[in-house]
Formats: sequence, C-alpha cells, structure tokens
Amino acid sequence: MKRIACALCFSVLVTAIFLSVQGKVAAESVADFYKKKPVTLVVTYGPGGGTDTAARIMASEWRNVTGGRMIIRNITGAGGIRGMNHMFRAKPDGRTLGYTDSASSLLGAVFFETPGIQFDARKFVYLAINAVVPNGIGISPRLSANSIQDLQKIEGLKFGSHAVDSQAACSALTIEIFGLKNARIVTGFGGMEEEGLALARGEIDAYSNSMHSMTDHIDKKFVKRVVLVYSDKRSSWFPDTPLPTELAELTPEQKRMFTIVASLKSAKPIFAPPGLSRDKTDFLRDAFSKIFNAKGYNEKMKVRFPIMGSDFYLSPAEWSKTVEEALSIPRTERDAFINVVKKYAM
Amino acid sequence: MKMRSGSYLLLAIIGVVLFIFFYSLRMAHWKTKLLPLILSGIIFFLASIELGKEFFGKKIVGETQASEAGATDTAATMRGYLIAGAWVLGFLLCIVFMGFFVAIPLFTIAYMKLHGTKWWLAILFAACSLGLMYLLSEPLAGIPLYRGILFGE
Amino acid sequence: MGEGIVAAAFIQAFQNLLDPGLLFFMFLGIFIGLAVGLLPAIGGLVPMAMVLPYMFLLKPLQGLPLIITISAVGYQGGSMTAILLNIPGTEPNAATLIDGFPMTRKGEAARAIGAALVSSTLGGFLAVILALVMVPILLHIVMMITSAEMVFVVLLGISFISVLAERSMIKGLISGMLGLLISLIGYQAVTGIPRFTFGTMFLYDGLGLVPVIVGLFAVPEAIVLASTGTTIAQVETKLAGMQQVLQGVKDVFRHWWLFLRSMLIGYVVGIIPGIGGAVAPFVSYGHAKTSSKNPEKFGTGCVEGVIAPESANNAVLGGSLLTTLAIGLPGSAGMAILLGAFVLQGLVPGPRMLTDHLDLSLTLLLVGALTNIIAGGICFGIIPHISKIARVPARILFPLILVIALTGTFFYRQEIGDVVIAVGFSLVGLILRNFGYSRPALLLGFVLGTLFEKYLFISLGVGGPLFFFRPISMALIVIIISVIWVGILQGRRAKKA
Repeated sequence: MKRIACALCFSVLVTAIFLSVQGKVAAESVADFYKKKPVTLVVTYGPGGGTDTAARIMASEWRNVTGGRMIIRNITGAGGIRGMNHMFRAKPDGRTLGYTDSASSLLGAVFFETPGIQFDARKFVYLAINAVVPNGIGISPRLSANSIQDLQKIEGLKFGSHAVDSQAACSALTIEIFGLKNARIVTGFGGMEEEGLALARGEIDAYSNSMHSMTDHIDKKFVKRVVLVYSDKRSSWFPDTPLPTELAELTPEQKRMFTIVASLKSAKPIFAPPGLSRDKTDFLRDAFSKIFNAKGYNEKMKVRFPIMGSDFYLSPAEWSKTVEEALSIPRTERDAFINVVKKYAM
Repeated sequence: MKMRSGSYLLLAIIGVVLFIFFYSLRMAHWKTKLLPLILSGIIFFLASIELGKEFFGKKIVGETQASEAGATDTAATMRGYLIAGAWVLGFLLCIVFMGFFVAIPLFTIAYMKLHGTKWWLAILFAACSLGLMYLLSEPLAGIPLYRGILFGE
Repeated sequence: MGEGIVAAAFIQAFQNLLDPGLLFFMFLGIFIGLAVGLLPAIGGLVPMAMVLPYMFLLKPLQGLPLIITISAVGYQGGSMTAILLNIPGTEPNAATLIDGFPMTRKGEAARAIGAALVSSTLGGFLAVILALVMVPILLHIVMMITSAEMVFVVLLGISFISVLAERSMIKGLISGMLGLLISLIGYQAVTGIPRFTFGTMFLYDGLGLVPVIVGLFAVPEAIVLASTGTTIAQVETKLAGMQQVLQGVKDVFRHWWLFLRSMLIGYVVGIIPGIGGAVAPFVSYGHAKTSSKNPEKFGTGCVEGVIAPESANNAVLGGSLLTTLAIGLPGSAGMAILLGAFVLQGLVPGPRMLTDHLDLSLTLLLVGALTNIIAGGICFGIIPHISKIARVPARILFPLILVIALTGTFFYRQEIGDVVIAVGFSLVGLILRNFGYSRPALLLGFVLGTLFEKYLFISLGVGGPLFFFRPISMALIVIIISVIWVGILQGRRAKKA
C-alpha cells in the first residue's frame, strides 16, 4: 500500500513538473519555433512570375528577421485555386503559409464563381498584405487618343483580357460608364505580356491591368498612357490620371459595380490556414512587418516592382474587412454585374 | 464480312466521338462547342471511311494491322501485354495506397526477383532508384513525394 | 548605338567567359541539365526550378549562366532517351523518336545519338550567333507576327500531322484530330466555361503534357519491352560504339543543307513568343520528309528524321533567349523561369538589357552558344556507354523506366491524379501503337489544339471573319495547302510502291 502511494505521488510530481516545464517552453517557443523549423510559403502560381518573384524576395529576408528558413513551394493550377484549396486544408501549425494574388485566385475566383473552389476566403488568417495595386485602363501607342474623352469619340474599341475575370470587369465598367460605342472585350490572351504585345501591335486598343504591370509596359512602350485608375483616390505614381468618379456621374447601379471593381484590386495577401493560434499569428504579422520595412527587401522589390510605397495600404484587419464586404455583395447584384461583363466579352 | 480487331477500334472511336458530338451540342456558348463539334465530325467522317475500307476495300498484299515496330497481333503478344500491364497496374495501386517510398522498392524488388535477378542486385537497383527519386524530389526540388492513402496526412 | 560601344561590349563579354566562377557554374549547369534531362519525364522545368532559390546567393555572372546552361542542355539529354527508349525526355524531343527509336532497334543507337548531338549542338550554336546578328531587327519581326499569323503558324504545325502518318494517312489524321480533341479538355479562357471536366477540379487545367507523353510513349514501350522479355536492340551491329557515333556525325555534314533549313525553322519559331518549343521539331521533321527524295524511308530509322528535329530543337532556344532578353517576353514556361531568375538577380529583361546591360546580354548569349559545344563534347564521350542501355535486359529496364517515368509524372504538378492519367493513357498508347495509329501525330495535335483555338478566337475578335486577309497569313495558307497536297501525293506514291 505504502509503495503504491509513493509511486502515485511520484507520478503526480513528475507529471506536474513536466506540465509546468511544457508551459514554460510554450511561452518562449514561438520565436524558437520559427528559428528551428522551416516555413513553407505556398505560392499559387508558377516559378518565375511576379508573385513567385515577390515571394522569393520575402523568403530571402525571412532568415534576417527570424533566424529561420523559408522554402517556396509552387502549387499551381486552375488560376491559383488549387493552391488556395491546398492552403484551406493545410494544418494550422504555423509552418505552412500561403501567398497569392487576390484579383485572380481569391476574390476574383470567388466572385466569378470559378468551378472547383473548396475554400472560404473569409476563414483564412491574413498575416500581411505586401502590395495593394489598383487596376487601371491603359491605351495602345497606335491609338490617336490620349484620354478617356478621346476614347469616347472612337467607335468599335477593342479591349483585351485574359478571360471573363476582374480585368474584363474593369474594361466592361469603363465601356458602361463612358458609353463607348460598339466597344467589346477580346478574351483569350495568355497573360499580361501577351496583352501588352497585342497593344503594341495595335491588335487591341486598350486593356485593364494592375498599375505596376502597366509601368513595366510603359517602359517597354507597349502602353502609351494610363487613362483611368479604378480606386477611391488618385495614385501618386500617376497623379494626372483621373478616377472614373471624377469624370462621370455614376448611376446607382454603376456605383455598385465600381465598388465591386475597386475591391477586386490586385492585392497580394500572405495568409495562414484557418485556426492558426493567436501567438503564432502575432509573431508572423510582426515578422512580415519587419520584412516589409527592411532595406534589403525594398531594394530588391524596387527592381521588379518599381511602384512601391504606401499609396494604397491595407492592414490584415482592413483586408479581412475588404474580403468580407466583397463576398457579402448580394447574389442578384453579383449576377447582374457578371452579365454586364459577359455582354461585352462573349 | 469478317470483323477485324481494327474494325472494333474504329467502332469504339466512332462511339466516343458521337458521344462528344452530342455532349457538345448542349454546351452553353457557340465558342465553347465550335471546335469539339468540328473535330468530332471530322473524326467520325475519317473513321467511317477507314471502317469502310476495312470492310469493303481490297486487301493490300503484305498489309497487316502492324504496330509501329512491325510486331503482329498474336495471342502470345497479347498475353505478354496483359501480364506487363498487370504489373503496371499493381505498381500504380501501390503508389496510390502506400506512396512512392514503399511502392518503388516493393515493385522493383518483386519484379526483378520474379524474373530471375539475384537478390542483392534487385535490392541494389531498388535502393538506387528510390534514393535518386528522393534526392531529386525533397532535398533538391522541394517537392514532397506522395505518401499514399494509408501513410499520408 | 555606337559601334564602339558594341565592340567594347563584345570584348567584355569574351572576357567574362574566361571568368573561373562563370565557367564553374556553366559546367555545373551542364552536369545538372544532362543528368536530369536524361531521366524521362523529369527533364525540362524541374532542374531549372531546382536552382531558382539559389539565385540570391549568386552573382549575375554565376546564377544566370547556371540556369541558361540547364535550359540549353535539357534537350540534348532528352534526345538520348527519345532515341534509346522511345520516350521523349522533353516534349520537343517527341519528333526525334519517330526515326530515332527505329534506328536503335536496328542496332544503330550510337549513330542516331551522334547525329542528334551534332545537330543540336551546331543548331544551338548557330542560332545564338544568328540571334546576335538579328538583335537590331528582332522587335520589328515580333511586331509583324500578330494573332492572325499565329493561327496559321499553328495550323502549319497541325498540317504536318498528315506527314507524320505512316502507311495510312487516314489513321494519322484520326490520331492528330484525337489529339486536338483531347487538348480541349479543361477551362476555356475565352468564355470562362470548362469543357469535359465533368465537374472535377482536377481536369480544370486539362490533361497535363507530361502524363500524356508518359502515357503515350514511356509506359507502352516499357510494356512492350517486358512482354518480349529481351532487349530494345533487336539487331546486332558490327560497328563499334565510337565508329557508329562518327558515322552519325558525318551524316549531319552530308545533309548540311537539311541541317541549315531545320535550324532556321527552329530559330524563327523560337523568336515568335507564344508558340512554345514543341512545334519547331515537328515542322522541321515534316519539312524534311516532304522535301526528301525518299519520304517512304522516314519512320523506319532514317537518319534525316533525327537530324531535322534535333537541329530545330536547340535552335529554338537561341531565338527564344533573344526574345526573352531583349523584349522581356518569355516564349515558354522555361523562359518564364529564366525571366524570374533575372529579376531575382536584380535585372529586368527588356529593351534596357541591350542598352544598359549589353555586355551581360552578350555574355549570356555566348554562354548559350558555348554550352551547346561543351555539352555536345561531353555527351560524345558517354554515347558509346549510354547506348548500351539498348542491350540491358527487360527485367532490369522495365522497372527502372516505370519508376522514373511515373515519379517524374508526379513531379509535374504534384498531383497523384496525373500518375493515374499516365497509366490510363498508356492503354490508349498501346492500342494506337498496335493498330498503326501515329502517336507523335496525336501528341502534336494535343500540343497545338488549344493554341490554335486561342489564336483563332482572338483573331476573330480582333479582325472579324476576314482576319486572314494579310500578306503573311495568305503566304502561310499557301504553304499549308502545299504541305497537305505533298503529303497526299507521297501517301499515294507509297501505296503504289
């Protein structure tokens, strides 16, 4: 009896010590956790593209900030949706993070109801947004127009787009708001480079693209100028470029469409699967904030993405709100908007 | 009029393209259905001509339903294909259920041993192929190999 | 740009080539590219993606030559598996196996590989030299080729389906059309509507190229090999390995005019962004057959059938490298990775590369040229040994081929479904093989199907139904009609014989 009691006491003591040590280890371990264990950043597009390049630049600074390693893994397919589905199912252990472009694979995909979506964009844990770039309308160097007013005088304008997506939505809204006669959207281009080349050749007259892609195309002389910016305020990169709301009186329906298009701006969120613990969320948000402020990071980003700065900045909380608002748009409004896009694109 | 095995293949092709043709008719937009309709129509037309040649055309001296390598379609050849095909299927099932780490050595050793290779050679080849695949995938390319339904997450 | 500046840039470029760091990474890239390129289904993008994370650690004159050499030598390794195993290492190598593998079965593997290597080495080298000469007019050429012309360039590639047919042109056309049909599976960007996906996410992007190639070629050949229980080579040859290799080398110089034409075809296709590398070798092969005095020999183990596609293969790289560097337009997924590598090195490909970084651009082009020569030289040393694979018994080769091919299929998109597709497709491949339907024709159709549709709808959207009323388009239409007509005539002549 005595032996059993001693054994029991000993067990309780050992368990208590073990649990208290665990508690202590847990409190100190988040930073150590990331120092010891590599983090995988799942990029939902292929290697070499803009999103992948930005991810690799972040990965190169990760070690300076955390002392640990970040591995890039490309999970591509279905316009980024495969990667998003993977992230939704991933374990929320803090070691798997995701990085995507919201206009195509997140908001755009959900909004345009791309088949195969198995994630709920509202449930991801958003850690940082490293670029928020509104879309705009750029025009071909072969066009005699220089402004949206000049475009209104031309009949049969052709806008280029990859597919019936957020890009096409921007173009469709432009046609609607400014009453561009017999304008249409030519879909099927393989990406912004193909569209840029088509613009330079004069195959298409205009397109919608993110502002930083357009600066690249202006440099390559694919785009003559940017005539519109789809946002709620002017951009410091193109201070002379007006907003649609400055040039036209929008109908209530057009205002709603404008809100939708503005929310489909190109943002690149870094996120974790649903259920990530609070302490890891805080640590990661802090880490990415440090990365974005690091000199090395900004120097490397400037090369590929010369439009840098906080013209349009969103905190993770603000981004979550944007997602919530975008996905709460009533079904009828969403369908009406998609029908407008399809009217010009198909 | 004797049906040759090539004729059955042509009938199967005709069946498939007819299905595609009628399935495509129901597609929503003309741009979506245009090419499937045209292509299935062309294949139907070509397969019908070829089927007609099989039934009614003159037999060309020396012509056989040869494979590209010239092998004739004998029962022994078919048996060989079926056995090898069964091994492929078995390997696939192993990969799906048990993942590459188990399937590669299991398949390699089993096949080699059952076809007369010595144990040590079979094990060596299995180890080398698994080692090479692992090296290329996880350390170098950062692609985790599939672990299978039984052992995966 | 002043001639003095250009001359100075050239001198700097040649000096850069002597840098020990550059040479080290060039050799490392050759080793990686060849070693991985030799593995069927794994070559291509995988080795390039493998080294991308290391770009930050390397200087531009180390990292960029590394990735360029890997890209350049991938096709050379891939041609060896195409010839020895009837499995294309990369999709552009699929045209090589049409005559390459029959040569192996005839015991002429070393000759085929020798011819392939010299063709691709010299083709790549000359294409880069041509690229250097054409820098001033490149942009004009790229601007002239619109979507309308692309429709007919792709259609020209499709028209060669008739040439790839063997004894029965109808069977060849059926194969090609089936390939076109299969390529339509997946999401159609023009309308945003998925086709033949049956509600599955997996088929949203269509069937993958690697699973289709593995299913059409690798697995059926492995099955056939296992069923015979012997070796790939069916014929003993008296020629020793190196003698055969030299015979292959001489063959290229004997057919120097075919080599030059094929190299030019590859180069021109390479500079046009948006076509990809798979078209050129098929067009070259088709051209070689239609212009040959003995077209009936093609497909039976004819060395011209190896020289033509291989000359075009590496020439594509010279052209697409220039377009990527000078305009910043990647013509293929491999070039897209290269573009990413540039950015990670702090450079942005585009017109500025030829002004602000002319010496670096010239260095990289020269690296591309030199790589072909060095890799070719290395391969020559190993051909007599590598070609012995044709004598390895089936009980060893069958499992090895399957392991490499199916694991490589998984690498492609990290989807186990691709492996299932590859095995399922192998039934198609085996049936086609057995009944005399051309698998290269099916593959060509598969590669070109969605390209054709895409450019067709863009052209219709841009130019309306009469979009083809343009000089270059009309010229291409005439060439297409000629190709089909010659194909029909050759088919009739072959039947009479």
